[in-house]
Amino acid sequence: MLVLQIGILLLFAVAVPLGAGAGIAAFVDRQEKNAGFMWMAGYLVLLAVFQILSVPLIIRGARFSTLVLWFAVLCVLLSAAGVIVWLYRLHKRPALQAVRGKAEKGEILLWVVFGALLLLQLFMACYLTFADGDDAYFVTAATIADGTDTMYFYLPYTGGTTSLDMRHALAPFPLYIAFLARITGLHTATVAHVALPVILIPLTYCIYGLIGSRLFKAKRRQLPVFMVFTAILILWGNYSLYTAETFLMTRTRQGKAALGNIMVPAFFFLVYLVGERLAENKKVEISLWLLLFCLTTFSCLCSTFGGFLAAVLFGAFGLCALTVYKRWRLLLPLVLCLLPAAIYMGMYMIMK
Amino acid sequence: MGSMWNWVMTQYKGYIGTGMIAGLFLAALVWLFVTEKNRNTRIVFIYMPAVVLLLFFCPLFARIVNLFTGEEIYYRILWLVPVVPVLAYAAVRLMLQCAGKKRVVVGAALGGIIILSGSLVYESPYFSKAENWYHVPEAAVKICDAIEVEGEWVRAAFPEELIPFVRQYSPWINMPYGREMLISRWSVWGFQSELYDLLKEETLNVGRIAELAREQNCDYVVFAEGKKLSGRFEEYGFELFDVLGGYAVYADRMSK
Repeated sequence: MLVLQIGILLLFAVAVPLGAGAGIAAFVDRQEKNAGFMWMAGYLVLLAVFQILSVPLIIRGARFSTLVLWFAVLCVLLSAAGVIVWLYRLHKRPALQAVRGKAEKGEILLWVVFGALLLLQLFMACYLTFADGDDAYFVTAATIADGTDTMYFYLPYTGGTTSLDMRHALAPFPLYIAFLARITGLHTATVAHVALPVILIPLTYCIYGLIGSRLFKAKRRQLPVFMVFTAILILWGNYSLYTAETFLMTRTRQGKAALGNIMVPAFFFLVYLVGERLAENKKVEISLWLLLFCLTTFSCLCSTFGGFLAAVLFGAFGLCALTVYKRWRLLLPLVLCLLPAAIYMGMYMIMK
Repeated sequence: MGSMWNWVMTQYKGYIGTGMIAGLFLAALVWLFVTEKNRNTRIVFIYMPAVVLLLFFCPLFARIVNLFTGEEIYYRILWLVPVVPVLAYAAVRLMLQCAGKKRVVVGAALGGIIILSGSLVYESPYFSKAENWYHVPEAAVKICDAIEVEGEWVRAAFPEELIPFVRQYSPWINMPYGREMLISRWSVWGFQSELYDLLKEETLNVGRIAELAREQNCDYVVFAEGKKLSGRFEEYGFELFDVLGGYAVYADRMSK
């Protein structure tokens, strides 16, 4: 039974996002046609879809099962569509394989060191528990949804009924935990405290790996060194309770951890790709703008503050890129990417 | 504006801890500003973080953010500063300045500096060995399993150390008070409970606890096994249901 549950978890947390991400990867430059990019892209797309689907259902007072059914169907459809599009594009325009020299001994050793550091973190995520008071809200909200088939109808702290709490209902990341629990049959507390860190910590490193691969594109052999430094910085990043690294290692199951450790690095990676195209006078692919749009939506899923943080990031990038490249045509897609943030923040202001 | 500036600085100091990693980051940013040739890398990993930092330290910006979000989460603006990739990138670039064995020595030294400047997350006192795959105390699991009735609401008063975990495990167990009790600053919003306060005492006032628990429709009262009791719960219509994980669980005989 447990093997089956883990299998389903891997299907929805790895295989399905890979499939959905392949559809996006099919439309970007060949350098990004790798599994890491597909996993990140798929996650951003699927969780954006989760946000778009869940908020209206919560406001309508729908049952949690309805959300599970619709999202599971959409996951399968998007994944299948992604794979079909990928295969079709591959058949039409075969992707060129980058020629890579044989890895040096030192390079292999560094990958082993990084792998060991990552495995250590995953082991510790299972072996140790971090007592955080906010779990009493976020994990409980997931447990309630899965257990009572309702969404934000009961008070997490005590269990009494409540009017809809818009602040949390507009950023329903706990419902994603409940979704994984429902489809796998695992307890929500297990999904939140064990499964989610085992999925999201590697996803964070995957995004840092993508950043490294762009920064060292001419010196790919430096990537494992970059990853080892990244792992050290995250492991020793607990210089205060508030750092994003601390949140990643201690509160992975809370939306704000995903905000600081998936949304933010993914933003830097995606705008780096946009910047590369601007620097080379190439057209920025629509798929990249679509991913940035999904990223903003995903940030709203993580936290009501997420939309605002996305707006600050887009503003900072817009200011710098427009000043340096002087491409005013950038403004429109940047503003369009911020639409989800404007919509969800507007809803919060009106309905709170 | 002066007080806002002081407030921002307090937030910043709280975030950076000893300030060693922040110092390394600023040094890396300046070094990359001087040496980095790639225009795109400069925009994304030098100018953008600088703009975010300028915004963070702007008192007017802080005032506007606080107006909409409250003061508790302003530090999250600092999450938008890519400390990890900038430092990792600068470290690798520094290593590349050297060749041969010197490169390995520089790499090891930089790793050592980061380790000495930072703080290992697993040294946090809030970490403990997980007691089960739910990562909630085993006592909470045992008590919930014993008192839970599938599909029915059960109401129980728990001691403070179990409060945050009970409903993470079981949504069917209601409580007369919750995590609000554990955060003293929330008491200004009226979150107070005499029952909660009484269950924290060294010697439990059995009569008053039984009275309040019944008033608040509690089916069970839970407290640490070793607590002294002012009397017998049985005299007030309660009976010992079980002792689980070091906690005595008393059931109200008069509840449903």
